Formats: sequence, C-alpha cells, structure tokens
Amino acid sequence: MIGLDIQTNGIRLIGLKKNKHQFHIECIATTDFDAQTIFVESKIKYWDTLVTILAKLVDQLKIRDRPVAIHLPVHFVKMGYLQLPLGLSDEQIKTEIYAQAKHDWQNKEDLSLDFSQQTLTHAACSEILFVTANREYLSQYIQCVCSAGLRVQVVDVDIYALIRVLQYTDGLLFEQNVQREWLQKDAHAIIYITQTIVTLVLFTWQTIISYQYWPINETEEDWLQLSDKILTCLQSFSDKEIKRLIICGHSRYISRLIESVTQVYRLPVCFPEIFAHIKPPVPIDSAADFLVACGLAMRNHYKW
Amino acid sequence: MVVINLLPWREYNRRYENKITNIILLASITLTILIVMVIHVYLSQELKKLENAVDALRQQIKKHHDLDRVVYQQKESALAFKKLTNHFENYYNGTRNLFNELEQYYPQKLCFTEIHRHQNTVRFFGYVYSMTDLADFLMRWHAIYLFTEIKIEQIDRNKEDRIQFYFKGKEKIHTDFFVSE
Repeated sequence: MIGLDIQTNGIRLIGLKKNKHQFHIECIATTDFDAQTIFVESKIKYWDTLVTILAKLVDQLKIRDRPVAIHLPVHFVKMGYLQLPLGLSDEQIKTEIYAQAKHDWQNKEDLSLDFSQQTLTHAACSEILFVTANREYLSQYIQCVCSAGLRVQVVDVDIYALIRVLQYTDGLLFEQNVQREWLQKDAHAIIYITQTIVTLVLFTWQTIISYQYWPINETEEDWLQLSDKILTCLQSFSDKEIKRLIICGHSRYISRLIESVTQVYRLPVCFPEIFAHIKPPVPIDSAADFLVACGLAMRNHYKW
Repeated sequence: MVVINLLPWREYNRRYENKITNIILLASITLTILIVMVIHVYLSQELKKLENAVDALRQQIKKHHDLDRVVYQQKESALAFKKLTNHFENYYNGTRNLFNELEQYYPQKLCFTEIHRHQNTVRFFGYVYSMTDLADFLMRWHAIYLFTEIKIEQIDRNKEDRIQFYFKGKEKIHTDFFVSE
C-alpha cells in the first residue's frame, strides 16, 4: 500500500510492503511547497495545482494505478461513540449515526461516514465508534488523487495512522491478543505537530480516550500558551495512567513544552523513529514528517 | 485499535464479492458446459466408432450368411447329386442282382416274356402250363430275397392252353445306399 500524506508544507509519500511482521520500503518521495500555493485556511483550495504536483511524483516513482491510502486531519472529521443494541444491520447503524450527527451535518447527502463496532462484555449492547466527514471535500480530495494516477482505497484519519505507526514500533501491530489487560489499561499521549495545528491524543492500544487540537502560529508566545493548555488537558486526565508522551512532528519551540511536561507532569517523552524499524534504513532528516504516511501505508489493501 | 475507512468500503466489498461470486458462478457454469460438451463429443466419437464397428460386423455377418447360403446350396446340390447317384446305383445293383439270379436259376417250366421296371417295382410277364409250376417257381425262386413283396396281379388262360401271368415284385430298398443328411 502507498501512504500519501498531503500537508500544508508538502507531500510525503511512501510505499510499504509487508513481509511477515516487517515492512519494507518500496518507494519514498517528498515534495515541499508553500502553503499558499495549495492551501487556504488549512483546506486544499487549488486542486489543479495539487494534481499537477502529485502526477509528477507518481510518474517519477512509476506508481500509476497503485492503491493508495490517504487521510483527513482529525480536525476535518467528527468522531463519537454510540451504544446500540446488538444485532442491528449496517444500514440501521448508519441511520442511528445520521440521527446522532444531525446537528453537525444539515444534510444526509453531505456526509461520509464509517464506523467500527465493538461488543461490550458487560452489557447486551455494542459500542459504535463513528467518524463523519464532509463528503464534498472528501470527494474532491479523492478525485484529485485519482486524477494524479493513483487508486484511492483507504481514507483514514491522521491520528489513527499515527497510532498504527506506534503500534508497529512497539511491536504490537501484528499482536493477536489485544484484549490483554495492560494493553487496555495503559494510556499514552501523542502530540502531533503540523504547521498549522497541534493535536493532543490520549489513547490506549484499544481505543482513543480523548483528542484535542489547537491552531498554532510559529511564535514563542503561542507555544507558551499551547504548553499550558496541553498540561491542563493532561492534568484533567490524572485518573488515567499515562505512560509516556510521544512527540510526532517538530517545532523550534517544542523544547519548552517538553521541559514543562517532564518537570511538571513528570512524564517520559519520546520521539518515534520509524525508519529504524523499516528496511532498508533511509537516512532522512525529517523522519517525523513521514509518520502519518507510514501509518497509512501500513493499512491492508482491499481486493477490490 | 479500530480501523477507519471513510470510503464506502462495505459497498465496494459487497460489489466485489458479488462480482467474484458471479465470476465463480459463470466459470462453474461454463466449465460444466465445457465438460459436458467434451464428454458429449468424446462419447459421440466413441458411439460413432462403435456404430462403425457394428456396421463392419454386420457386413461380415452378411458376408458369412451369403457364404453359408452358397455352402448350403452347394451341399444341397452335392447331396441331391449323391442321392441321384445312389438311386441309380441302387437301380443298377437291383437290376444286376436280378439278372444274376435269373441267369443262375433258369426256370424249366416257366417262361418270362417281358420284364418291366418302374422305380422299385419290377413287373414280370410270362406264361406257364400249370398254376402248380408258377407256384413251385415262386416258392423256390432264389431271387425272392430281392423283393419285399411279390404280388400276382393277373392270371389268364389263353387259347393255346397256356396260363399267362403277370406279377410284380417290390424291390428291397438298400438303405445303406442312401445318403443321410
């Protein structure tokens, strides 16, 4: 599968091939551009320009018609939980989700959704995690990637892609028994930094407990405020046993946040090094930029 | 961890599965038809071969029947010829024996005037001077063993006081001369 991560500062593309429990790089490419050439207010505006850049990349790598996984940033989607009786059909579950998401989306046709069902052991009902997104924007996105010569098979959410990478680096991606107690109990926190948004995700290996995002400018003052917000947020989950804080991305003011977290909250901080776990080793300075792309490329491709 | 895909993947999966099911179904039907056709062609060829073999056997049987008929006809004609030959031989032997006997025992008081033969019946015509001579002759005649029966048919006394007689004897048929089928 090819993972395609289109950020405001450029495109990160990686093709991974699974061999038993190890991923191998098939192709890798990065293209930088100014945010203004493609994006307007964190949204892709100039689709034609993006198609041109992407098509050039596809031709260079000779990956035309290959299946690709793309993503929407978490701030572009709505996520929620529902508890429903067991035995409902997919259509019935969708109807319930539409009813739930009615206040966010005016029209049913404006909505793209997916859900995941998990049976609760203590009750005769199932817990549904659902994700909804704007269909128009998503259709444009898919159309754009298809026009560039790739075949979209997966539209994921960036934080799920990040968690998948962390699962892989921790050796848990191919773990069969994820029901183990410590896997469900131990919480981790991710701070995912992009040029315009910083996202905090609190999760166990089984589920996302909470997430929050903040728009950010590259100023010291902004980062000071953000550090406080993140600390407050982490403290609000003091009942959770957070094992570590994982920094995905980079900023020149990140050291301030790390200092605060380690001193105040006494939380270990780590930086995932994905290319240490993928063969062959690739000497890339900004390996953190590829985390989402790698997480996407780790998706199983469908037969269709 | 849950896996999210905002594409309508369930629908795509369903369509793909339907497509695969249809392909498998179509392939199964095609394969079945193909197998049936191959079996049909094979069996037709085998049937044709067997029919040809049956035709050839029929031809041979017909040929054999014809040959049998010819052999039978030849056998029949050979048998008829042999029958005829035996018949003539029987006649010949009968006549020869009769003449041999007539030559060996020459009657003193009886005179044969005519001897006719028709098939196995021999008619004797002659005359005697007394009936005693005729009876004596018939009782002593050596050639009597050649006949199964001797029947006096006519006795007439003529003007010259001779008794004209006519008797017939049925010759013994020598079965050993006949060819059994």
